Amino acid sequence: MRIAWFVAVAMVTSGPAFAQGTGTGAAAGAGKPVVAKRAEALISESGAYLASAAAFTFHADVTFDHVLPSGQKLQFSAVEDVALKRPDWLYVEWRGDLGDRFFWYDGKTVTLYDPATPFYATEVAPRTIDQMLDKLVSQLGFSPPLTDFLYSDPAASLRGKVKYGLDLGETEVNGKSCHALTFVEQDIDWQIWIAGGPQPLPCKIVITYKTEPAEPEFSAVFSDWDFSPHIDDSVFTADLPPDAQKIPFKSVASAR
Amino acid sequence: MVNRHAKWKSLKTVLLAGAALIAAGSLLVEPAAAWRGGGGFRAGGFGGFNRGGFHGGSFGGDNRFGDGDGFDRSTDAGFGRDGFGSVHTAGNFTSRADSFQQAHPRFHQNATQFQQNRFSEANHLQSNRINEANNLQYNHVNNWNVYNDHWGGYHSGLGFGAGFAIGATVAALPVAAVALSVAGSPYWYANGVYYGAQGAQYVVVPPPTGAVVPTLSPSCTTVYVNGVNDLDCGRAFYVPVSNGYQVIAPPIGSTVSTLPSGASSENIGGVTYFAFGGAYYRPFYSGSSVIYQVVTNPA
Repeated sequence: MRIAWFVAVAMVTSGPAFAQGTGTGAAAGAGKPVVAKRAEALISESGAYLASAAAFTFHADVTFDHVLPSGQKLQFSAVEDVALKRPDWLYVEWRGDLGDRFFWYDGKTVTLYDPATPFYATEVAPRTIDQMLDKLVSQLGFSPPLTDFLYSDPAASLRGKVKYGLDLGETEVNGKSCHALTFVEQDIDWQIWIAGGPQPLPCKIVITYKTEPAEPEFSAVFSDWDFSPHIDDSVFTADLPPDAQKIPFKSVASAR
Repeated sequence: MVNRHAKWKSLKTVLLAGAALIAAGSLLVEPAAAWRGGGGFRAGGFGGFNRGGFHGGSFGGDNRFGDGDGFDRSTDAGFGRDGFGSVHTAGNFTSRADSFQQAHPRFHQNATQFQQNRFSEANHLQSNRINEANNLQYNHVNNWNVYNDHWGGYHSGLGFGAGFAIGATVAALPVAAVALSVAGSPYWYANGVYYGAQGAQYVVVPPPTGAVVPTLSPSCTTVYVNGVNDLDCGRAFYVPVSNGYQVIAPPIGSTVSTLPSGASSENIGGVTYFAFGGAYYRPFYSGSSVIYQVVTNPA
Protein backbone atom coordinates (compact mmCIF):
# COMPACT_ATOMS: atom_id res chain seq x y z
CA MET A 1 0.00 0.00 0.00
CA ARG A 2 1.69 3.09 -1.23
CA ILE A 3 0.29 6.47 -0.52
CA ALA A 4 2.12 9.52 -1.68
CA TRP A 5 1.77 12.07 1.03
CA PHE A 6 1.99 15.26 -0.91
CA VAL A 7 -0.97 16.61 0.90
CA ALA A 8 0.70 19.73 2.17
CA VAL A 9 2.00 20.55 -1.26
CA ALA A 10 -1.38 20.00 -2.78
CA MET A 11 -2.97 22.34 -0.33
CA VAL A 12 -0.53 25.10 -1.01
CA THR A 13 -0.43 24.82 -4.77
CA SER A 14 -4.07 24.19 -5.47
CA GLY A 15 -6.45 26.95 -6.15
CA PRO A 16 -10.15 27.13 -5.51
CA ALA A 17 -10.88 24.44 -8.01
CA PHE A 18 -14.41 23.62 -6.97
CA ALA A 19 -17.19 25.63 -8.38
CA GLN A 20 -18.83 28.27 -6.32
CA GLY A 21 -22.07 27.61 -4.59
CA THR A 22 -20.73 26.09 -1.43
CA GLY A 23 -23.77 27.55 0.18
CA THR A 24 -24.09 27.94 3.87
CA GLY A 25 -22.11 24.81 4.53
CA ALA A 26 -18.84 26.69 4.76
CA ALA A 27 -18.18 28.38 8.06
CA ALA A 28 -18.20 32.13 8.11
CA GLY A 29 -14.82 33.45 7.16
CA ALA A 30 -13.67 30.08 5.88
CA GLY A 31 -13.22 31.55 2.46
CA LYS A 32 -13.32 29.75 -0.83
CA PRO A 33 -12.96 25.98 -0.93
CA VAL A 34 -9.40 24.80 -1.30
CA VAL A 35 -9.19 21.62 -3.30
CA ALA A 36 -6.18 19.94 -4.83
CA LYS A 37 -6.37 20.12 -8.61
CA ARG A 38 -5.85 16.39 -8.92
CA ALA A 39 -8.70 15.73 -6.50
CA GLU A 40 -11.01 18.05 -8.40
CA ALA A 41 -10.03 16.48 -11.70
CA LEU A 42 -10.70 12.96 -10.49
CA ILE A 43 -14.10 13.89 -9.08
CA SER A 44 -14.99 15.54 -12.38
CA GLU A 45 -13.77 12.59 -14.47
CA SER A 46 -15.57 10.05 -12.37
CA GLY A 47 -18.75 12.10 -12.34
CA ALA A 48 -18.64 12.58 -16.08
CA TYR A 49 -18.16 8.88 -16.65
CA LEU A 50 -21.20 7.98 -14.56
CA ALA A 51 -23.21 10.79 -16.12
CA SER A 52 -22.51 9.50 -19.63
CA ALA A 53 -24.13 6.13 -18.94
CA ALA A 54 -27.68 5.46 -20.04
CA ALA A 55 -28.00 2.69 -17.50
CA PHE A 56 -25.89 0.93 -14.91
CA THR A 57 -25.99 -1.47 -12.03
CA PHE A 58 -23.61 -1.80 -9.12
CA HIS A 59 -23.18 -3.57 -5.85
CA ALA A 60 -21.93 -2.03 -2.61
CA ASP A 61 -20.78 -3.68 0.58
CA VAL A 62 -21.72 -1.24 3.30
CA THR A 63 -20.81 -0.78 6.93
CA PHE A 64 -22.44 1.83 9.11
CA ASP A 65 -22.27 2.81 12.75
CA HIS A 66 -24.99 2.99 15.29
CA VAL A 67 -24.41 4.85 18.53
CA LEU A 68 -26.18 3.75 21.67
CA PRO A 69 -27.31 6.39 24.14
CA SER A 70 -24.49 5.19 26.39
CA GLY A 71 -22.07 6.39 23.74
CA GLN A 72 -21.10 2.91 22.64
CA LYS A 73 -20.59 2.69 18.89
CA LEU A 74 -21.69 -0.44 17.08
CA GLN A 75 -20.90 -1.27 13.49
CA PHE A 76 -23.34 -3.04 11.20
CA SER A 77 -23.22 -4.29 7.65
CA ALA A 78 -25.49 -4.22 4.66
CA VAL A 79 -25.35 -4.87 0.95
CA GLU A 80 -26.90 -2.45 -1.50
CA ASP A 81 -27.71 -3.28 -5.10
CA VAL A 82 -28.71 -0.54 -7.46
CA ALA A 83 -30.17 -0.58 -10.97
CA LEU A 84 -30.57 2.72 -12.77
CA LYS A 85 -31.95 3.54 -16.21
CA ARG A 86 -32.01 7.15 -17.22
CA PRO A 87 -33.95 9.25 -17.14
CA ASP A 88 -36.61 7.90 -14.84
CA TRP A 89 -36.09 4.37 -13.54
CA LEU A 90 -34.37 3.34 -10.33
CA TYR A 91 -34.41 0.25 -8.16
CA VAL A 92 -32.52 -0.12 -4.88
CA GLU A 93 -32.33 -3.25 -2.82
CA TRP A 94 -30.85 -3.10 0.68
CA ARG A 95 -30.21 -6.11 2.85
CA GLY A 96 -28.56 -5.54 6.18
CA ASP A 97 -28.02 -6.49 9.77
CA LEU A 98 -30.74 -4.09 10.90
CA GLY A 99 -33.24 -4.93 8.22
CA ASP A 100 -33.97 -4.82 4.53
CA ARG A 101 -35.56 -2.23 2.27
CA PHE A 102 -36.79 -2.24 -1.29
CA PHE A 103 -37.18 0.95 -3.24
CA TRP A 104 -38.74 1.41 -6.67
CA TYR A 105 -39.05 4.44 -8.90
CA ASP A 106 -40.80 4.09 -12.25
CA GLY A 107 -40.95 7.69 -13.37
CA LYS A 108 -44.35 8.21 -11.78
CA THR A 109 -44.21 6.96 -8.22
CA VAL A 110 -41.76 5.90 -5.56
CA THR A 111 -42.51 2.85 -3.42
CA LEU A 112 -40.79 1.80 -0.22
CA TYR A 113 -41.19 -1.61 1.36
CA ASP A 114 -39.78 -3.07 4.56
CA PRO A 115 -40.21 -6.83 4.17
CA ALA A 116 -40.18 -7.35 7.93
CA THR A 117 -43.58 -5.69 7.98
CA PRO A 118 -46.74 -6.20 5.90
CA PHE A 119 -46.62 -2.53 4.91
CA TYR A 120 -45.47 -0.49 1.96
CA ALA A 121 -45.87 3.16 1.07
CA THR A 122 -46.22 4.81 -2.31
CA GLU A 123 -46.08 8.46 -3.27
CA VAL A 124 -46.33 10.37 -6.51
CA ALA A 125 -42.87 11.36 -7.71
CA PRO A 126 -41.38 13.84 -10.17
CA ARG A 127 -40.49 12.73 -13.66
CA THR A 128 -36.72 12.53 -13.44
CA ILE A 129 -34.33 10.76 -11.14
CA ASP A 130 -32.71 14.05 -10.09
CA GLN A 131 -35.99 15.70 -9.14
CA MET A 132 -37.20 12.55 -7.45
CA LEU A 133 -34.06 12.23 -5.33
CA ASP A 134 -34.33 15.86 -4.27
CA LYS A 135 -37.89 15.29 -3.17
CA LEU A 136 -37.13 12.20 -1.15
CA VAL A 137 -35.08 13.74 1.62
CA SER A 138 -36.95 17.01 1.83
CA GLN A 139 -40.45 15.57 1.70
CA LEU A 140 -40.27 11.95 2.74
CA GLY A 141 -37.34 12.11 5.14
CA PHE A 142 -35.12 9.50 3.56
CA SER A 143 -33.23 8.59 0.45
CA PRO A 144 -31.42 5.42 -0.48
CA PRO A 145 -27.78 5.57 0.55
CA LEU A 146 -25.24 6.46 -2.15
CA THR A 147 -27.58 8.72 -4.08
CA ASP A 148 -24.68 11.02 -4.93
CA PHE A 149 -23.78 8.61 -7.69
CA LEU A 150 -27.29 8.45 -9.13
CA TYR A 151 -27.63 12.09 -10.13
CA SER A 152 -27.17 13.22 -13.70
CA ASP A 153 -24.18 15.25 -12.47
CA PRO A 154 -22.57 13.21 -9.67
CA ALA A 155 -19.59 15.55 -9.39
CA ALA A 156 -21.86 18.48 -8.58
CA SER A 157 -23.61 16.44 -5.95
CA LEU A 158 -20.34 15.48 -4.32
CA ARG A 159 -18.57 18.82 -4.40
CA GLY A 160 -21.44 20.94 -3.13
CA LYS A 161 -20.23 21.88 0.34
CA VAL A 162 -16.56 20.96 0.27
CA LYS A 163 -14.17 23.24 2.10
CA TYR A 164 -10.90 21.37 1.60
CA GLY A 165 -10.00 18.54 -0.72
CA LEU A 166 -6.79 16.57 -0.79
CA ASP A 167 -5.27 13.92 -3.01
CA LEU A 168 -3.61 11.19 -0.96
CA GLY A 169 -2.23 9.25 -3.88
CA GLU A 170 -2.79 5.70 -5.04
CA THR A 171 -3.72 2.74 -2.95
CA GLU A 172 -5.49 -0.55 -3.48
CA VAL A 173 -9.13 -1.37 -2.88
CA ASN A 174 -10.10 -4.99 -3.44
CA GLY A 175 -6.92 -5.50 -5.44
CA LYS A 176 -7.60 -2.58 -7.77
CA SER A 177 -5.47 0.51 -7.88
CA CYS A 178 -7.52 3.53 -6.84
CA HIS A 179 -6.79 7.19 -6.10
CA ALA A 180 -7.52 8.09 -2.51
CA LEU A 181 -9.08 11.52 -2.04
CA THR A 182 -10.25 13.15 1.15
CA PHE A 183 -12.61 16.07 1.66
CA VAL A 184 -13.59 18.24 4.58
CA GLU A 185 -16.99 19.82 5.05
CA GLN A 186 -18.50 21.55 8.02
CA ASP A 187 -20.58 18.60 9.18
CA ILE A 188 -18.80 15.67 7.61
CA ASP A 189 -15.44 14.49 6.43
CA TRP A 190 -15.51 12.11 3.51
CA GLN A 191 -13.07 10.04 1.57
CA ILE A 192 -13.44 8.55 -1.86
CA TRP A 193 -11.32 6.13 -3.81
CA ILE A 194 -11.53 6.41 -7.60
CA ALA A 195 -10.20 3.75 -9.93
CA GLY A 196 -7.33 4.51 -12.24
CA GLY A 197 -7.44 3.59 -15.91
CA PRO A 198 -10.11 4.19 -18.55
CA GLN A 199 -13.02 3.67 -16.15
CA PRO A 200 -12.66 6.20 -13.31
CA LEU A 201 -15.29 4.53 -11.16
CA PRO A 202 -15.78 4.91 -7.43
CA CYS A 203 -14.02 2.07 -5.58
CA LYS A 204 -15.02 3.09 -2.10
CA ILE A 205 -16.47 5.94 -0.07
CA VAL A 206 -16.35 6.73 3.64
CA ILE A 207 -18.46 9.44 5.31
CA THR A 208 -17.69 10.53 8.87
CA TYR A 209 -20.49 12.44 10.61
CA LYS A 210 -18.19 14.44 12.82
CA THR A 211 -20.83 16.62 14.46
CA GLU A 212 -22.86 13.61 15.55
CA PRO A 213 -22.27 11.99 18.96
CA ALA A 214 -19.41 9.47 18.73
CA GLU A 215 -18.84 10.47 15.08
CA PRO A 216 -20.52 7.56 13.30
CA GLU A 217 -19.26 6.50 9.90
CA PHE A 218 -20.81 5.12 6.75
CA SER A 219 -18.64 3.25 4.30
CA ALA A 220 -19.32 1.50 1.01
CA VAL A 221 -17.02 -0.58 -1.16
CA PHE A 222 -18.27 -0.71 -4.74
CA SER A 223 -18.12 -3.69 -7.06
CA ASP A 224 -19.78 -5.19 -10.12
CA TRP A 225 -20.21 -1.96 -12.02
CA ASP A 226 -22.06 -2.84 -15.23
CA PHE A 227 -22.75 -0.20 -17.86
CA SER A 228 -24.55 -2.45 -20.33
CA PRO A 229 -26.82 -4.31 -17.96
CA HIS A 230 -29.73 -6.47 -18.99
CA ILE A 231 -32.48 -5.38 -16.66
CA ASP A 232 -36.06 -6.33 -17.23
CA ASP A 233 -38.39 -3.34 -17.17
CA SER A 234 -40.45 -5.01 -14.46
CA VAL A 235 -37.55 -4.58 -12.05
CA PHE A 236 -38.56 -0.94 -11.70
CA THR A 237 -42.14 -1.74 -10.81
CA ALA A 238 -42.97 -2.45 -7.19
CA ASP A 239 -43.07 -6.18 -6.59
CA LEU A 240 -44.99 -6.75 -3.37
CA PRO A 241 -46.58 -9.71 -1.64
CA PRO A 242 -50.23 -9.99 -2.68
CA ASP A 243 -51.46 -9.21 0.80
CA ALA A 244 -49.17 -6.29 1.49
CA GLN A 245 -51.01 -3.27 2.85
CA LYS A 246 -50.47 0.30 1.77
CA ILE A 247 -49.88 2.87 4.49
CA PRO A 248 -49.02 6.57 4.17
CA PHE A 249 -45.69 8.28 4.53
CA LYS A 250 -45.95 10.10 7.84
CA SER A 251 -44.68 13.43 6.58
CA VAL A 252 -47.11 13.38 3.69
CA ALA A 253 -50.03 12.47 5.92
CA SER A 254 -49.12 15.25 8.33
CA ALA A 255 -49.08 17.82 5.59
CA ARG A 256 -52.55 16.99 4.39
CA MET B 1 -38.98 -14.94 -10.14
CA VAL B 2 -37.88 -17.07 -7.31
CA ASN B 3 -40.56 -19.18 -5.76
CA ARG B 4 -41.54 -17.63 -2.47
CA HIS B 5 -42.05 -20.94 -0.81
CA ALA B 6 -38.54 -21.86 -1.68
CA LYS B 7 -37.35 -18.61 -0.17
CA TRP B 8 -39.34 -19.33 2.91
CA LYS B 9 -37.73 -22.73 3.29
CA SER B 10 -34.34 -21.22 2.99
CA LEU B 11 -35.28 -18.83 5.74
CA LYS B 12 -35.52 -21.64 8.19
CA THR B 13 -31.94 -22.49 7.49
CA VAL B 14 -31.02 -18.91 8.16
CA LEU B 15 -32.98 -19.07 11.36
CA LEU B 16 -31.04 -22.06 12.57
CA ALA B 17 -27.85 -20.30 11.69
CA GLY B 18 -29.06 -17.35 13.66
CA ALA B 19 -29.73 -19.53 16.66
CA ALA B 20 -26.24 -20.92 16.38
CA LEU B 21 -24.86 -17.42 16.38
CA ILE B 22 -26.81 -16.64 19.49
CA ALA B 23 -25.47 -19.69 21.19
CA ALA B 24 -22.01 -18.58 20.25
CA GLY B 25 -22.63 -15.25 21.89
CA SER B 26 -22.70 -13.35 18.66
CA LEU B 27 -25.14 -10.60 17.91
CA LEU B 28 -28.66 -11.73 17.50
CA VAL B 29 -29.77 -12.37 13.98
CA GLU B 30 -33.45 -12.30 13.37
CA PRO B 31 -34.32 -13.27 9.85
CA ALA B 32 -36.93 -11.01 8.42
CA ALA B 33 -40.31 -12.53 8.10
CA ALA B 34 -41.92 -13.91 5.02
CA TRP B 35 -41.26 -12.40 1.63
CA ARG B 36 -37.67 -11.85 0.77
CA GLY B 37 -37.98 -9.82 -2.36
CA GLY B 38 -37.43 -11.14 -5.78
CA GLY B 39 -34.21 -12.81 -4.91
CA GLY B 40 -32.36 -10.43 -7.10
CA PHE B 41 -33.20 -8.60 -10.24
CA ARG B 42 -35.84 -10.68 -11.84
CA ALA B 43 -34.45 -10.24 -15.28
CA GLY B 44 -31.52 -12.35 -14.35
CA GLY B 45 -28.15 -11.41 -15.62
CA PHE B 46 -27.62 -9.23 -12.62
CA GLY B 47 -25.95 -11.28 -10.01
CA GLY B 48 -24.60 -10.09 -6.80
CA PHE B 49 -27.35 -11.00 -4.41
CA ASN B 50 -27.25 -13.36 -1.52
CA ARG B 51 -23.58 -13.08 -0.99
CA GLY B 52 -22.39 -13.62 2.49
CA GLY B 53 -24.42 -15.39 5.07
CA PHE B 54 -25.47 -12.56 7.30
CA HIS B 55 -27.59 -10.35 5.11
CA GLY B 56 -31.29 -10.29 5.48
CA GLY B 57 -31.05 -10.49 9.20
CA SER B 58 -32.82 -7.94 11.21
CA PHE B 59 -32.59 -6.74 14.70
CA GLY B 60 -36.20 -5.86 14.55
CA GLY B 61 -37.32 -2.83 16.40
CA ASP B 62 -35.42 -0.48 18.54
CA ASN B 63 -34.77 -1.07 22.20
CA ARG B 64 -33.30 -4.38 21.24
CA PHE B 65 -30.04 -3.41 22.78
CA GLY B 66 -31.55 -2.67 26.09
CA ASP B 67 -30.85 0.99 25.67
CA GLY B 68 -34.53 1.72 25.52
CA ASP B 69 -33.92 5.26 24.54
CA GLY B 70 -35.31 4.23 21.25
CA PHE B 71 -32.58 5.95 19.34
CA ASP B 72 -34.61 7.61 16.66
CA ARG B 73 -32.50 6.17 13.95
CA SER B 74 -32.24 2.67 15.24
CA THR B 75 -35.14 1.44 13.21
CA ASP B 76 -34.11 2.81 9.88
CA ALA B 77 -31.88 -0.16 9.13
CA GLY B 78 -29.23 2.28 8.01
CA PHE B 79 -31.31 2.96 4.92
CA GLY B 80 -30.87 6.61 4.33
CA ARG B 81 -32.90 8.28 7.03
CA ASP B 82 -32.56 12.03 6.52
CA GLY B 83 -30.12 11.37 3.75
CA PHE B 84 -27.71 9.21 5.72
CA GLY B 85 -25.15 7.59 3.46
CA SER B 86 -24.94 10.29 0.82
CA VAL B 87 -22.54 13.20 0.79
CA HIS B 88 -24.79 15.94 -0.55
CA THR B 89 -27.55 15.25 1.97
CA ALA B 90 -25.27 15.08 5.00
CA GLY B 91 -26.61 18.36 6.30
CA ASN B 92 -30.12 16.97 6.57
CA PHE B 93 -28.81 14.16 8.68
CA THR B 94 -26.53 16.10 10.96
CA SER B 95 -28.99 18.93 11.51
CA ARG B 96 -30.94 16.57 13.69
CA ALA B 97 -28.11 16.16 16.16
CA ASP B 98 -29.10 19.09 18.33
CA SER B 99 -32.72 18.12 18.67
CA PHE B 100 -31.69 14.57 19.32
CA GLN B 101 -29.41 15.54 22.15
CA GLN B 102 -32.07 17.71 23.66
CA ALA B 103 -34.50 14.84 23.59
CA HIS B 104 -31.94 12.54 25.13
CA PRO B 105 -30.39 14.47 27.97
CA ARG B 106 -28.78 11.35 29.28
CA PHE B 107 -26.21 11.80 26.58
CA HIS B 108 -24.76 14.50 28.76
CA GLN B 109 -24.34 12.37 31.82
CA ASN B 110 -20.85 11.77 33.00
CA ALA B 111 -18.56 9.13 31.64
CA THR B 112 -18.78 6.91 34.70
CA GLN B 113 -22.50 6.61 34.29
CA PHE B 114 -22.03 5.74 30.65
CA GLN B 115 -19.66 3.00 31.58
CA GLN B 116 -22.05 1.58 34.13
CA ASN B 117 -24.82 1.73 31.62
CA ARG B 118 -22.76 -0.27 29.19
CA PHE B 119 -22.15 -3.00 31.70
CA SER B 120 -25.81 -3.23 32.59
CA GLU B 121 -26.73 -3.21 28.93
CA ALA B 122 -24.41 -6.12 28.41
CA ASN B 123 -26.11 -8.06 31.15
CA HIS B 124 -29.51 -7.28 29.74
CA LEU B 125 -28.42 -8.24 26.30
CA GLN B 126 -27.26 -11.58 27.48
CA SER B 127 -30.58 -12.47 29.03
CA ASN B 128 -32.52 -10.90 26.21
CA ARG B 129 -30.74 -12.98 23.66
CA ILE B 130 -31.70 -16.21 25.31
CA ASN B 131 -35.30 -15.19 25.61
CA GLU B 132 -35.44 -13.78 22.14
CA ALA B 133 -33.87 -16.87 20.71
CA ASN B 134 -36.62 -18.98 22.15
CA ASN B 135 -39.21 -16.51 21.05
CA LEU B 136 -37.90 -16.26 17.54
CA GLN B 137 -37.78 -19.99 17.12
CA TYR B 138 -41.43 -20.12 17.93
CA ASN B 139 -42.59 -17.05 16.13
CA HIS B 140 -40.93 -17.62 12.84
CA VAL B 141 -42.91 -20.74 12.34
CA ASN B 142 -45.90 -18.47 12.04
CA ASN B 143 -46.54 -16.28 9.07
CA TRP B 144 -46.54 -12.55 9.19
CA ASN B 145 -50.24 -12.33 9.81
CA VAL B 146 -49.32 -12.72 13.43
CA TYR B 147 -46.08 -10.87 13.07
CA ASN B 148 -46.90 -8.79 16.08
CA ASP B 149 -45.67 -11.64 18.15
CA HIS B 150 -42.23 -11.27 16.65
CA TRP B 151 -41.63 -8.48 19.00
CA GLY B 152 -42.54 -10.76 21.84
CA GLY B 153 -43.94 -8.60 24.54
CA TYR B 154 -42.02 -6.23 26.66
CA HIS B 155 -38.59 -7.17 25.59
CA SER B 156 -37.23 -3.69 25.62
CA GLY B 157 -34.27 -4.28 27.78
CA LEU B 158 -36.32 -5.74 30.54
CA GLY B 159 -34.04 -8.53 31.55
CA PHE B 160 -35.96 -11.47 32.87
CA GLY B 161 -39.28 -10.56 31.36
CA ALA B 162 -37.84 -10.13 27.92
CA GLY B 163 -39.68 -12.04 25.28
CA PHE B 164 -42.73 -12.78 27.37
CA ALA B 165 -45.80 -12.37 25.24
CA ILE B 166 -49.13 -11.31 26.57
CA GLY B 167 -51.02 -14.44 27.42
CA ALA B 168 -47.97 -16.49 28.26
CA THR B 169 -48.36 -18.45 31.44
CA VAL B 170 -45.69 -19.13 34.02
CA ALA B 171 -45.81 -21.59 36.88
CA ALA B 172 -44.05 -19.28 39.30
CA LEU B 173 -43.45 -15.58 39.58
CA PRO B 174 -40.00 -14.10 39.36
CA VAL B 175 -38.30 -13.70 42.71
CA ALA B 176 -38.42 -9.94 42.40
CA ALA B 177 -42.18 -9.80 41.78
CA VAL B 178 -44.16 -7.35 43.85
CA ALA B 179 -47.87 -7.68 44.50
CA LEU B 180 -50.17 -4.94 43.24
CA SER B 181 -53.84 -4.27 43.57
CA VAL B 182 -55.46 -2.47 40.66
CA ALA B 183 -59.15 -1.67 40.87
CA GLY B 184 -59.58 -4.48 43.32
CA SER B 185 -57.84 -7.14 41.24
CA PRO B 186 -54.51 -8.71 42.18
CA TYR B 187 -51.54 -8.28 39.87
CA TRP B 188 -47.85 -8.89 40.16
CA TYR B 189 -45.08 -6.90 38.63
CA ALA B 190 -41.46 -7.74 37.94
CA ASN B 191 -38.94 -6.25 35.56
CA GLY B 192 -41.49 -4.41 33.53
CA VAL B 193 -43.81 -7.39 33.07
CA TYR B 194 -47.26 -7.64 34.63
CA TYR B 195 -48.84 -10.88 35.72
CA GLY B 196 -52.37 -11.78 36.64
CA ALA B 197 -53.66 -14.87 38.40
CA GLN B 198 -54.96 -17.75 36.32
CA GLY B 199 -55.84 -20.76 38.39
CA ALA B 200 -52.70 -21.97 40.05
CA GLN B 201 -50.54 -20.21 37.48
CA TYR B 202 -49.74 -16.69 36.40
CA VAL B 203 -50.47 -15.13 33.04
CA VAL B 204 -48.66 -12.21 31.45
CA VAL B 205 -51.09 -9.31 30.99
CA PRO B 206 -50.92 -5.86 29.43
CA PRO B 207 -49.90 -3.09 31.82
CA PRO B 208 -53.09 -2.38 33.78
CA THR B 209 -53.89 1.31 33.57
CA GLY B 210 -53.77 2.84 37.00
CA ALA B 211 -51.24 0.41 38.46
CA VAL B 212 -48.49 1.99 40.54
CA VAL B 213 -45.11 0.30 40.64
CA PRO B 214 -42.11 1.24 42.78
CA THR B 215 -39.45 0.95 40.09
CA LEU B 216 -39.23 1.01 36.35
CA SER B 217 -37.08 -0.96 33.98
CA PRO B 218 -33.83 0.79 33.03
CA SER B 219 -35.01 1.06 29.46
CA CYS B 220 -37.55 3.81 29.84
CA THR B 221 -37.53 6.83 27.59
CA THR B 222 -38.83 10.22 28.48
CA VAL B 223 -41.35 11.23 25.89
CA TYR B 224 -42.80 14.65 25.42
CA VAL B 225 -46.39 14.56 24.38
CA ASN B 226 -48.61 17.60 24.41
CA GLY B 227 -46.16 19.40 26.64
CA VAL B 228 -46.16 16.71 29.34
CA ASN B 229 -43.27 14.43 30.21
CA ASP B 230 -44.21 10.79 30.24
CA LEU B 231 -42.06 7.71 30.41
CA ASP B 232 -42.17 5.17 27.62
CA CYS B 233 -41.08 1.78 28.89
CA GLY B 234 -41.51 -0.59 26.05
CA ARG B 235 -44.99 0.51 25.05
CA ALA B 236 -46.10 0.94 28.64
CA PHE B 237 -46.45 4.59 29.51
CA TYR B 238 -45.97 5.91 33.00
CA VAL B 239 -46.14 9.13 34.93
CA PRO B 240 -44.21 9.65 38.16
CA VAL B 241 -46.39 9.71 41.28
CA SER B 242 -45.48 10.12 44.94
CA ASN B 243 -45.01 6.42 45.64
CA GLY B 244 -43.63 5.26 42.32
CA TYR B 245 -44.79 5.28 38.72
CA GLN B 246 -48.33 4.94 37.48
CA VAL B 247 -49.41 3.23 34.28
CA ILE B 248 -51.32 5.55 31.99
CA ALA B 249 -53.06 5.01 28.71
CA PRO B 250 -50.72 5.65 25.76
CA PRO B 251 -50.88 9.37 25.06
CA ILE B 252 -52.54 10.34 21.81
CA GLY B 253 -49.93 11.44 19.35
CA SER B 254 -47.08 9.40 20.78
CA THR B 255 -45.30 7.09 18.40
CA VAL B 256 -43.68 3.74 18.93
CA SER B 257 -41.53 1.72 16.60
CA THR B 258 -42.93 -1.63 17.63
CA LEU B 259 -46.43 -2.63 18.54
CA PRO B 260 -47.29 -4.15 21.86
CA SER B 261 -47.52 -7.88 21.63
CA GLY B 262 -51.07 -8.98 21.13
CA ALA B 263 -52.22 -5.90 19.28
CA SER B 264 -54.95 -6.86 16.87
CA SER B 265 -55.28 -5.52 13.35
CA GLU B 266 -58.49 -3.76 12.44
CA ASN B 267 -59.59 -2.21 9.18
CA ILE B 268 -61.71 0.83 9.87
CA GLY B 269 -62.84 2.91 6.95
CA GLY B 270 -60.20 1.36 4.72
CA VAL B 271 -57.39 2.28 7.09
CA THR B 272 -55.35 -0.27 9.00
CA TYR B 273 -55.23 0.23 12.75
CA PHE B 274 -53.94 -1.88 15.58
CA ALA B 275 -55.85 -2.01 18.82
CA PHE B 276 -54.27 -2.79 22.13
CA GLY B 277 -55.20 -2.01 25.70
CA GLY B 278 -57.86 0.45 24.64
CA ALA B 279 -55.45 2.40 22.43
CA TYR B 280 -55.40 2.56 18.65
CA TYR B 281 -52.19 2.63 16.66
CA ARG B 282 -51.92 3.68 13.04
CA PRO B 283 -48.91 2.57 11.01
CA PHE B 284 -46.92 5.05 8.93
CA TYR B 285 -43.65 5.10 7.07
CA SER B 286 -41.57 7.70 8.88
CA GLY B 287 -38.46 8.17 6.85
CA SER B 288 -37.61 4.65 5.75
CA SER B 289 -39.16 2.87 8.72
CA VAL B 290 -42.58 1.86 9.88
CA ILE B 291 -43.77 3.57 13.06
CA TYR B 292 -47.07 3.40 14.88
CA GLN B 293 -48.82 6.49 16.14
CA VAL B 294 -51.36 6.43 18.93
CA VAL B 295 -54.57 7.94 17.62
CA THR B 296 -58.03 8.56 18.97
CA ASN B 297 -60.51 5.73 18.61
CA PRO B 298 -61.35 5.81 14.89
CA ALA B 299 -64.54 3.82 15.26
